[in-house]
Amino acid sequence: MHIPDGMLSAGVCAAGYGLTLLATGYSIKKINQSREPARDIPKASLLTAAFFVASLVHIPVPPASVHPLLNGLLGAILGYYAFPAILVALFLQAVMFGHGGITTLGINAVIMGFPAMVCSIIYRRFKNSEQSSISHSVLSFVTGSMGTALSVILFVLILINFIPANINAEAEKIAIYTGAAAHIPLVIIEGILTAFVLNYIRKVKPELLDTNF
Amino acid sequence: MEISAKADSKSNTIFHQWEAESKLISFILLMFSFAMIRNIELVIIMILVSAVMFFVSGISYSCLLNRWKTPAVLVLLMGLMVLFFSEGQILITAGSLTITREGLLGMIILISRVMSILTLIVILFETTPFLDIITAMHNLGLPKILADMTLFTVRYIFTLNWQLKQMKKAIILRGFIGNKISSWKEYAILIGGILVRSFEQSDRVYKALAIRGYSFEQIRSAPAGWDSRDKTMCYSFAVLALLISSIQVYLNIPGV
Repeated sequence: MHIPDGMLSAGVCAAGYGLTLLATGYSIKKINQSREPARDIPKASLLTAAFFVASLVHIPVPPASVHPLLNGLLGAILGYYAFPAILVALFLQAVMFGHGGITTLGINAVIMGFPAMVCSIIYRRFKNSEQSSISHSVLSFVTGSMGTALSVILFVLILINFIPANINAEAEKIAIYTGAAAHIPLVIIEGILTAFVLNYIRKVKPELLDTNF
Repeated sequence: MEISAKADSKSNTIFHQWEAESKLISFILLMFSFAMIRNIELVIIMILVSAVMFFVSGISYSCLLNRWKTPAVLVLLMGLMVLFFSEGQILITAGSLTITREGLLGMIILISRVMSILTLIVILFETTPFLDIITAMHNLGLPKILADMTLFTVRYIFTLNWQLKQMKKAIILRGFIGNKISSWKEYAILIGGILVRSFEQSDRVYKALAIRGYSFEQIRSAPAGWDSRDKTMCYSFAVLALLISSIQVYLNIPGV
């Protein structure tokens, strides 16, 4: 779900970079206020690498397979590091695999990063250590599916609205609905997967969820 | 495209010798000027410029084709949508589908722009060592947090990918069949497992870095000097980008 180079006008790309600059600036300000940024940077970077690798895992959805976005999960675990982590991962994906692009890096960071920030706030606001397993699973499902759902909405709206052409309004509406509907299974899969992963981490390594990045 | 400390060492073209900072600025200016293009007249110039640069760079066709392949499906879908659903002067009608002049031009412009910008990206990253790019970005103002995170992430992607493959192999040997919906939980454990492992490893990495003097100070390396060739290349690219953008702005004026 990355927009490649050349699809959007220079103005939209510049606006994407502007929003990314604001979000990165805000995240870095918060990171600098933490007690030990030098200790947290390697931790956040290794987790970014782990997320990068984990997003390449193909989840079977017979007869095909999908690879997860994991931006909701990333937001829940990395907190203020989520946006910089997504920016770094998108840059590396653009350079290494050609997913996304360099001129569209800002707009792709907005599509993936803003939902991760929202998920981070929601998960950290409602999570507590005495929570039952069921309510934690529900919270995790909502976090995971919301991350993907918001990204899909942003992706489809940006792509359809800013493709520079005289596209028929009716066709544009159909494309938006079709694009969004096609991603509904992915939204559900992400929710289920995030719930499984967060429950697993809660049992095996709860301090990973309590780390105050 | 693989990340390596060295660029393609077999070639030694003008792009390989170009200093990273000025090269990065020049390529980004040119990419953004290409992204502005909306007219078919400028598309011809864009294709010519990127083709000449590609031939001068000495990069292989297979490398470029690999890069073009990745976004092909999305670009083709959007191109077809622009072709068949644009309003304007009708050229061909086949059943309920119509192709308009505006749609045809829109599709040609869209696909050419994607391919030309991707060509520039291939030239930039194939002719510059990755470490030089990050250093240049840091010297141009990239915050230390992002520069450090990028380098750490690159360093550990390959290690963690290998660990993930080993973990997957281990669970397959224990009877895991990974192509059913019922295996989602196992996939989640695999993902959770790699996150937990990386978290545990990160503490050891930090300690190893700390005893080698790693700190959180913003230190910029001394900017590499731009020699006259770097300056000439950078100014030429800037003038070309400005020219393309100005012509596009002029062509956008109603009535022109």
